[in-house]
Amino acid sequence: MNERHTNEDNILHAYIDGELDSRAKHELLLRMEDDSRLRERICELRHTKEWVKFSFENAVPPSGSGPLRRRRYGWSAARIAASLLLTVAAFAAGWASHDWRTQAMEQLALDGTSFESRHVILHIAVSDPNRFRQVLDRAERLMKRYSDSGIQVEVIANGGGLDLMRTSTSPFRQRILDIMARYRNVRFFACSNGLKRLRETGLDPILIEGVQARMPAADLLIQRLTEGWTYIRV
Amino acid sequence: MEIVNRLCTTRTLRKRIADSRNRLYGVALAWCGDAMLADDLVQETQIIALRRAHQLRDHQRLNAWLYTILSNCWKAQLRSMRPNVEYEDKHACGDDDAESASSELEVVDRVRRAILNLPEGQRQTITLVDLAGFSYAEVAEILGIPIGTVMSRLHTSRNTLQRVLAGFRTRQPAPPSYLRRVK
Repeated sequence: MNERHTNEDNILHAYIDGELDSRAKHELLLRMEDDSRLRERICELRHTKEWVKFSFENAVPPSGSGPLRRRRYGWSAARIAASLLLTVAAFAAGWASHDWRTQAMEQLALDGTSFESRHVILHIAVSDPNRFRQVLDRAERLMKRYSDSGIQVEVIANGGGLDLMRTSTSPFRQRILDIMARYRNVRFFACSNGLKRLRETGLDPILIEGVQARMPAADLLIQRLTEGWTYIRV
Repeated sequence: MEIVNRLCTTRTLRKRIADSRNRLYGVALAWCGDAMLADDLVQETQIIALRRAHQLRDHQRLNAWLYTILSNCWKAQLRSMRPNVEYEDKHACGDDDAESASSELEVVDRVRRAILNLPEGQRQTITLVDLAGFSYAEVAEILGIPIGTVMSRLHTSRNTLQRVLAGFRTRQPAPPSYLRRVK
């Protein structure tokens, strides 16, 4: 196909894509009146365009994202969170040793925000006792600081973070039970997909009493972020 | 009053991001060819968008912004699975497939595979134009390429798909004559 032909064809592509200006469109329409091959070519291009659209436009995401859901490449909510909060994580990591500054950051982040923003997601996705302690410390600190303003805190675990909420692996079982008993506005959620994957490997993950596992972590994160909750990754 | 307006606008924006799932999914599926991975890509896109919604100054650009995030997520995914890309990209769509394309669903499946068999850049471009309905300028912005490249990719990919579709037509059995039923 020579260059002239390609340029000519590009005009036809632009025509079916609605990219031609009025004058160019007018010229082409006039040519089409006398040129059956041109009309045929445009018809072919439209046909192809329609097939591309038709082939995927009615595709629906896997229904419900329920327990049968599979993540082929291990694209877990852990990775999702890792990529989405790179800056926050880096910042938080840098200041992890300065607890008083972390507290100040939280306070700054939550003071003066809307009511929904006073609701906080604490996301834990790694199996690390230090991080487990941090997430529980934060949950308690938030409750002490903002309990009068109706704050809600949800601790969401997936990936390695599930170890925090499993009876056989959690070093903080009693502390979690104490927090739930003391603060009605703190809830703990384990990723249903993560639990499913553990079962597939032959494990029988038993959650600490009161920990909920009704949906995948990613779905819950989207739901809460849509509602305007503040997200903190620990 | 301005604060109330901003809050309402932010809520509307979040709602629009949350409602974008199905639209993003079609394109994500066309890019990666795997239902679960496409779903993951869309979820990741939505989470990033919800987290960064305050950064979007012009809400008219929400759609293009979402697809830019989706494209970036897909690029990151491709990088992480690079050793498998060659294998995964080989979505068979040879002559043998065309011979058995006898129903509409099968043809859809073959067209999907033909699209998945296109080179990565062509696949992204044609789906953003034909499926998501973006202008050439918007696609150029989303993918970070010149408009001329958008046009050449469209030209090449549509020609390839036309050949595949023509293959179906010549190999399919003749359709039943509906005129005979009319009496």
